[in-house]
Amino acid sequence: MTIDRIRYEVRLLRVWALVFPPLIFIGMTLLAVGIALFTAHVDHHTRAQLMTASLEMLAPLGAAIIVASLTVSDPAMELRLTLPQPYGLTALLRAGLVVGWSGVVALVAGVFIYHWRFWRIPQQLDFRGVAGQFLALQLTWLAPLLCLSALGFCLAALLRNGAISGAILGVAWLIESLGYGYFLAHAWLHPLFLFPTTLAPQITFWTVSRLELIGIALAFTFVGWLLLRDSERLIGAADAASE
Amino acid sequence: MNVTITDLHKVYRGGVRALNDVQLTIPNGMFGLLGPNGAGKTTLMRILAGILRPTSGDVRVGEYDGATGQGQQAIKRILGYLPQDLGMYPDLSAREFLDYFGLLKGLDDRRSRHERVESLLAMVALTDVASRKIKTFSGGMKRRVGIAQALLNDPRLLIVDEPTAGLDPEERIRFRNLLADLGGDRTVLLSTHIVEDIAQTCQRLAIMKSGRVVFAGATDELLRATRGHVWLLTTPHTGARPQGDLAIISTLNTGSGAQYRVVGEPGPQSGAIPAEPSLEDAYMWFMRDGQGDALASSMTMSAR
Repeated sequence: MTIDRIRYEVRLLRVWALVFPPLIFIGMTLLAVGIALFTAHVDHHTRAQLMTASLEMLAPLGAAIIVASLTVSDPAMELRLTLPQPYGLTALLRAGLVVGWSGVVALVAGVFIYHWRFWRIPQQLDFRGVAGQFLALQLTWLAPLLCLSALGFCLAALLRNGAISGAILGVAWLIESLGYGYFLAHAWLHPLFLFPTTLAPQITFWTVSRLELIGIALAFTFVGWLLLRDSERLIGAADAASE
Repeated sequence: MNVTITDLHKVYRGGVRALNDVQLTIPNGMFGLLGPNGAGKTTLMRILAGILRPTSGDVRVGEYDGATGQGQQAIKRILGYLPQDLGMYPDLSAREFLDYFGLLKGLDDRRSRHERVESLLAMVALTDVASRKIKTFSGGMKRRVGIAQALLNDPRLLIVDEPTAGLDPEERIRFRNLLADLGGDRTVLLSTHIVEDIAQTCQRLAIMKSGRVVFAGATDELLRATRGHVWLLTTPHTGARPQGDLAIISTLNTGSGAQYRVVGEPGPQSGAIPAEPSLEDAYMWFMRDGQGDALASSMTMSAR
């Protein structure tokens, strides 16, 4: 993989794929500042929840929708499928760039959020030193980012439609956000609990569920990769998109 | 390098039969694939390019077996492909687009890749506008970028699908000349439903109809097979169209009446005068109901 190739792939990402991640944090920061300035009764806890949610809930959803929309929508798809290099590799590279960029933005935003003490600390990490705690806290955004993006990648490869895949991601996100009590109550759903730092930092399975989510992300990625090997399915999607 | 297709069938999901027992040998040089929309040309080319899998049958490109994954990969390395619907990245310039596809085709050395891109830009006469974004290009210019892209890896097999569709006459002639220059040392498969494109560039061709090859051979043979079936018919006034088992190729209003060019069997009482067939006449003759199907059956039998 050459630098030239990566440079081109970055250029081929749509502008909003690059703009969206920092916009989330800028928007959430402005919201938190606005709340602090104009609503004196809102406590620190709520503002911390808001800022943590931007890292854990909003940034991963945004990245996942972008990944889903990019996975099977190459304007030169037919041409790409005649090349010796499998298309899945390109889709994976593009997904990796989106996830990587979102991760960089989350990391930088996280430094400030942590420094200003707006990061909700899971109970499991309460007694660690600053460096250890900060490092472990990165799982807050990393696990849902990887899991939701991999799900978007897999869904797009399966359904061959970025818009429908994005909609399904949105529904899954809503179910997790509104019905998180159900995920807490059932042990078999613990590995699928995406947003514990924002919604339930007191849980005792925070670390293990983050690692399980990363494992699930790897499985989704592998399935998506297998699906993208089928050029007949991809050309069908390209034909349908051009009609 | 020969491309040999034997007993090829393609049935899509849902039971749509796109190719039906196709037998074809494509030799080195320019080879035309002619047929109406829906005849199966694009399906055949996509199978040759390794995008689609045949339902059954064999495809050999030179020494490579197109029915296996390994063979398809090998074919892709010697293939240049220009699809009918040439999707491009509108925000890249022509130079960047070619450079990017050079990378994808494995031209990793930056200097030699840039040299190759510049020589191809010169060949398709786009050097002066190479830095302009592709979205500002006309249809003909995009096609020229497309053919330059197909030539990046100096392919031994070049497949071009409907390359002149939608081009104005000047661009079409320019593009045809470009293609004709490429046929010397490689196999070029030109698919089109525009008879004139084949007439001007190919000595050999195949005609497809409803998923079958109804003729394959030299253009001379095609014209010979049509001789005796093309007629000029004159009627006293323009309203009276020729009757019988005929397909009208053209109508010329002569003032006092109309002169029709027809293919078919006008009958002895019609006053028809035999005419020398053109490729367009021959194509229409093979496209007539029942005509192509009977020939396809006999070609399949003789191929076996």
